[in-house]
Order: sequence, then structure tokens, then C-alpha cells
Amino acid sequence: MPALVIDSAGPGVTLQDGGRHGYLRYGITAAGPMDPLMHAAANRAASSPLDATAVEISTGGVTVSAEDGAVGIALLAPGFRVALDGVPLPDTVARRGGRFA
Amino acid sequence: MSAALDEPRLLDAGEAALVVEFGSTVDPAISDRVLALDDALGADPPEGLRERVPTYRSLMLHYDPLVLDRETLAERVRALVAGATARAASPILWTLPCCYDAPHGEDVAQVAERSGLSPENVVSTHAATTFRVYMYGFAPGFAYLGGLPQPLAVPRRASPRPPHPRNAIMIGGGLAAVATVPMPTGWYVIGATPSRLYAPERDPSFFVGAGDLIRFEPVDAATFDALVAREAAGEPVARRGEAG
Repeated sequence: MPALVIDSAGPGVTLQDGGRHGYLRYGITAAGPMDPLMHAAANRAASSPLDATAVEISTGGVTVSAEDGAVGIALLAPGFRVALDGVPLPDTVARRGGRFA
Repeated sequence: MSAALDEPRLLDAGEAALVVEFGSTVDPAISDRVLALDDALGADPPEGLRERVPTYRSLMLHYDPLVLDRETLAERVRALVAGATARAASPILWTLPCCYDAPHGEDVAQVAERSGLSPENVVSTHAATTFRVYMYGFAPGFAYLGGLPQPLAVPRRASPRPPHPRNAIMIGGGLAAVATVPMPTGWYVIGATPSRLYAPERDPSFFVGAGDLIRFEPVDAATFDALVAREAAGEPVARRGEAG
């Protein structure tokens, strides 16, 4: 089964779902992504539920690879340097079924 | 000085939260308006409203801006405030056992020194007070209480003390609190309750709501230990009554 493999991750790179809401009135924060709108937009671009788990990338950066076949990916990383197999890409990009969209 | 606003102020807190501010003081009348709006929105929440967070003088509304837009929420709030409903239910008076003795009332002597009261008077004054739960905040299950008598309104510590034990009863800066999760604090620990306001595995995890009242009933250290065991066995030691 195709899978996204995280080969390396710098400091502050975490997996984030949409958080657990409803307990802030009791002093418990929802957690979830630093930037909820960016998180939702990336999920929409990847055709995932808006609160699905995503990789939140911080200053340390991240290297990922596809295993056992093509993996769809949406990347919203304004200001980051992005490359696929060493070839520079735009910092906001979605790739599905082996093609960029 | 009364600092209640006729019309609440609507303040944006980022792109996904709206603060509805009813005043600027610790005042039961202001809190009642906060909680009446909280109740009204809770009874019929607009889709996309994620969290309602009552505080001393405002209600913070967290919403999903992809589902609920700011103006729709603001109009709903204005309409509910204009309708000026009372609170949906009357507050509950909780009686919580509290041990002020050693080793639990760690800072009673310091409060006595700062307030000029005797240690016995610090305890009896606190235990004779009916507190109002205004809000939770800062940490899970950290309940901010109002109603602290003026003689106990000592300033906070100049520097924080090491983490307090769980379910600490604290005062500081003119306020009182029940603090469930051990943390360093600038408040004074004057006792502990065997009751667990916050128990993640329990349903409900929280049983005391904003607007409820709390009285503390002094118990000795041996009784405290017995009540801790009862609470741990799933038998709540807080007693519930209707507030007058």
C-alpha cells in the first residue's frame, strides 16, 4: 500500500489534526494546528477531510518520500524552499496521481 | 465603582474568535449577563460555533470561520443580548470538604503574616465565605472564584512557589481559586480539597459550572485522607444543594 514516509524532520515538525474542541471553558485548550485555516486549506487541496491529520512543518524543515507507489500530497509552505528529487518547486503545490495540479 | 456596559462591546480576537465584553469588574451582575448569553447560545448554538468561554466580564466565542462568518455570529449575539434572557437554570451551591491543617494548608502562616489576621482567623474567614465560580482558565480545571473577603485580599507572592499539590485551595491578588493540576504558582496554598473538580476519566469530567457557588467545610487531616479514598473509589465527596 502506498505510504508517505517521513525520512527526516527538524525541530517543531509535528503531526496535527484539527484539535479537540469544547473544553476551553474548563481551561483545556483544543490543541491542533498553529494555523487552522492553512491546515484546512492543505487538506482541501489534498481532498482530505478538513480536520484530517497533516504534517505541520516548522523552521527545521522535513524530507519525505513515497513508498510502494505514488502518494498524493498538497503542500502549503509560503517562504519555504521546496524541491522534488532536487528539482525546485513552487512553495504552494498539490500533486495527485503523479501530476502536479 | 460599577463598570457595567449597557451594550456589550464586540471585540475580534483574531480571525476565529469574538469577545463579548459586558464590563470591566468582578461583579455578579456582569457575570450573570455573561452566563445568560452563554446559556442562550448553548441552547441553540449556530453551526460553526466551537467554544463558548465565560470569563469574569466577557464571553469569548470561538468559531470556525469556514462555517460561520463573523457578522452572522455578531448579529445573533446582538439579538440575544437585546432579548435579555435570564440564566436558564439557578446556580448550584457546592459544599467541598477542605483541610486547612498541616500538611495541606502550607501557606496559612504566610497569609496570616501578610494579612495581619491570626492563622485561625484566616481559616475561619475563608470557611465562612460563599464563593462564586466565575470562570475556569489558565490550566485544566483551574476555577477562579470571587467573593474573597477584603481582609484576605493579600497581594500575590513576589516570586512563585514550587508546584502546589493537586486540588489546592488558593488565594492571591484579591482572588480565590481551586487548582486541580499541580503547577508552580504565585498564589498562597491555604488548604486542599479531597473533591476532584476535574477528573478526566469521569463522566462528566467537570461537575462545577461557571455561576455555581462553593462553600468550604473544614475537615481534619485524617478525615481528608478518608475522603480522598472515597473519592478515588468513585464516590463524590462534594455535596450538592440549591443556591437560595
